Amino acid sequence: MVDERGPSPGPDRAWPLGLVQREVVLVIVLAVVAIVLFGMTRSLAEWSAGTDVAAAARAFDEGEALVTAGDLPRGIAALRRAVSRDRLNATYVLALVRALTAAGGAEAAAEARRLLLQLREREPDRPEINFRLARLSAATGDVDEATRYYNHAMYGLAPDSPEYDRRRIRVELATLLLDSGDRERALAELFALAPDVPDEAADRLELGRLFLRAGDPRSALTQFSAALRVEAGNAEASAGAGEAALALGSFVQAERYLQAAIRQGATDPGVRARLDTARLVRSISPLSSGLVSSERARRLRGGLDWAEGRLRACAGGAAASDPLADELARFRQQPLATLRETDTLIDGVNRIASAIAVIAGRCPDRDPAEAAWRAVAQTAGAAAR
Amino acid sequence: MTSRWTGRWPFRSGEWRIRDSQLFLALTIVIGVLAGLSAVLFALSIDAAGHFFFGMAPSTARVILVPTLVSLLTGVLLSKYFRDARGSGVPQTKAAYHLRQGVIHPRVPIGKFVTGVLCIGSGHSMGREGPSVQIGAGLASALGQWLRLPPERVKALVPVGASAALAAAFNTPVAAVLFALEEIIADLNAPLLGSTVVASVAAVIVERTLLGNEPLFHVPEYQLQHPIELVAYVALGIAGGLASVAFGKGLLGARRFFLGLPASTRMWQPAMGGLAIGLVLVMFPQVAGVGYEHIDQALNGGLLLWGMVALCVVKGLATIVSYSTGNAGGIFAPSLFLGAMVGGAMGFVVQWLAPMVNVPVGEPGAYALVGMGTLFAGIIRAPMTSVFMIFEITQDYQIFVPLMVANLISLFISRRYQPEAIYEALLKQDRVHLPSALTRQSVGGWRAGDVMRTDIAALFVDAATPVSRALERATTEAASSLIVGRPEAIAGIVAREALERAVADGRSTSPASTVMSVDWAHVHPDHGIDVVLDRFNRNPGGLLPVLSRANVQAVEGAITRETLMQVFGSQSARRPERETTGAG
Repeated sequence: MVDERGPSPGPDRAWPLGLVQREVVLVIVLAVVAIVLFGMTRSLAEWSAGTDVAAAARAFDEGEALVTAGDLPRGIAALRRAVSRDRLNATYVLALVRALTAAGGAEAAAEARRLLLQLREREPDRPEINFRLARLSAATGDVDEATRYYNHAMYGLAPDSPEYDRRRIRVELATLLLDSGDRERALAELFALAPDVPDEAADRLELGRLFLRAGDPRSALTQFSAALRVEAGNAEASAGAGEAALALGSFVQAERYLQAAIRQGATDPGVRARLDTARLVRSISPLSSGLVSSERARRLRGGLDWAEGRLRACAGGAAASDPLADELARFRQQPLATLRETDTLIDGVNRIASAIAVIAGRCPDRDPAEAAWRAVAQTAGAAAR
Repeated sequence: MTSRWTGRWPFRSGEWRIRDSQLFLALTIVIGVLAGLSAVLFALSIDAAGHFFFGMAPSTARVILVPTLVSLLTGVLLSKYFRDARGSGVPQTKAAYHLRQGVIHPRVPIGKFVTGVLCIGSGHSMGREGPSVQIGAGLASALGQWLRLPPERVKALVPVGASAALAAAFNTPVAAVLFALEEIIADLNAPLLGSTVVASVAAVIVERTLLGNEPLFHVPEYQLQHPIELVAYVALGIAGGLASVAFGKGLLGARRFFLGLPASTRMWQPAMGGLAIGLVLVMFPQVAGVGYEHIDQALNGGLLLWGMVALCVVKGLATIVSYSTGNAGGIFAPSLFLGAMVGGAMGFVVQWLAPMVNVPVGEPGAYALVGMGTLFAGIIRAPMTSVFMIFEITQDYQIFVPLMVANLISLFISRRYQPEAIYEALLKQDRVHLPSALTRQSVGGWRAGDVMRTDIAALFVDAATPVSRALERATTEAASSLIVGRPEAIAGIVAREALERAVADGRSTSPASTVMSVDWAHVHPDHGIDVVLDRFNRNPGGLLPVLSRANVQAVEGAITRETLMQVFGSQSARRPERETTGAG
């Protein structure tokens, strides 16, 4: 009950009869006045809200026009006014966020993030909100948070704009994961993405490149080949396929693709370098298919000679006593029959690869044969597996 | 209660109490609704005034001129018509509750509404919660007076109206109830809990119906990340306490300065403050008004370290200027603003340090949230209100422990370096002394008002009266001391011995003020006899003035050795019987 221990009139302080009646009447009058005032205040609140909404709409139009015209500071100021007058309007808030993102800077990013988080409280599944939050988190290097928001953006409501279709979001997520070095999670996203990729050369190319970055040249080659099926003369697709084939140890195939790429007008200097490597590998690799065993042994000895010579040349004055070079020399002196054996071939290629790692640390200048022997070593690894 | 038949009312007397309580309950609900409406109207009017004064994109000249010119108008209004409407309103409400039986003139809420809308709407860095409290309390008091309720009922309505208005203004009903008990009544055990709860609930229902359920701040879920993180919150408590002291001392110092200026400048001081605020707003528009939007930014990580530091400093200075120059507006919202900035900045520092000790820490927003409570506890000195207010804002218990730790440390530091709470200190600057908790709690027994003599006209001498004339008066009246000044403005006390020495030294014609003591003790009528006896011997010549609490320059009586002897020497002296006033 109200005022349990409060002052209450004792028997001799009881309010006189007339006063009580008067007060009851007055309280009723007050209640009526309160109801009337409530109605009036409600009307005023509605009018005030309506005025705010109208003012916000004007400010939004002004802000959008300014942003479109490239006047970001004034556009942002106008959009801020729109948001301050109509805080619940997601369209205004997102427009402001887009403008702030375009303006860049830590302060703008912080403001955009706050606005998006507030908006997300009301519309947690709206793709654009989660997508933009993901980008902001990615920009600050918070990959886990960005991944969470990307996933919300992908699995939230149906996309409300072509810009936010699930495939594009997944591509961005995979790129972020690759940038952060998380190749396993990136590959998982790419495998999820592959079935949804439309049969367009550009989309296949993009996916192929991502697979290459993720260290899966086989899937990359599949995508580049698909791109070439759609657009046979696509130089980028040929170059990508050549790179993937090179990584797979398919040097003949790589040479064919890379030659095609150059024919189709590929300008990337890397394409030419990779073609040279593919050719060199074909001429020096003891593991190439179709070789007789004596030729394999001869090529291995040639590689060991080259590596020993490089090691000693790079060691300078200490060349005479280089233990790794000495070891390569001893390995080379094994009988031809032993060198022909597959295990010895692979062991020899791996020794050359180890020597190249040492050479890379000693000599500043690069020899094209180094890249070729590395590629051979990759093939040897694949063969050993 | 004895049964009594009035002969005119067809109920027995036992039913009178029920009718009384029911009536009070009905009145409480009506006051809750009206106070809620007043708070909503006040908020809407401030917004409308802001939009009207500044438009959508104000020019620099407009930003400077609006607060200056509007403050020119409010300066006139506050000096000529609404003197009690300056400042926050909480101290005035406390004074009305404790010293004037809850009587607030109906002009006060009207004046506070008008001047508050003008001042806050024109960009002064002040809050709307304090004014809402005064408006709600004034409305309740005016209605109580209009209904001719007994004095204790009128007094009881003041915290009811105050809590209802605050509940609607801040959308925190529990914190509003606690604020009324903790700050207005200054007693958490006050028997008005039920009434304040009912009124606050009614007011919040009104506010939410009119303005919607949208919370004042959108706060993400924050929690203590690791027990070690409490160390960071302890540091926040220390920083908050020091910031509270700095703000409090700055505010009181600046206000003392402006009160010390000639009275003729009083009318123009708000305009001086307005001009200063206008210039500040050109560079920092964020400090205008209540600043909820920027608190929200800090809570949601929308501000960076240096932005928060700059806003904290500028907002603190702007609030000090706005308040000390006599404008109408409170320090409730500015305290929260400063707290959010101090906390947020501290959060950034903690995040920077955390990797060094490899401990997970919360977002800067979590620190901003706790910082709000910390500075509120340090400045306003209402720790329970602070804790529950943050809880009502977040509706999350996870942040409770760091909040309480930081609050208590801030409160401790604030009390250590500024013993007097800010509202009491502001009242003292206005020459109003509120009774201490001890005085309020003292029950029965003799009080200064019981033993003082009121026939004291003959004890006064004007400050310009020559020493010889003053000595003659003391001799004639057989008084060991005289009061220098007038009954409504005491200047000091002069002992007969001092007058005699002055005459002996050949200074007969010197004014009495030159030999009076300026360091003298006084009591108020409600002080217990123990306080009277303790202070009596501190004054020269055994004269202890009894001053009004509502105006500590006004003399209500005096206690002399003779009066004490009369009271205690008489065997017939009977201890007056007195009961606690339930309403405080």
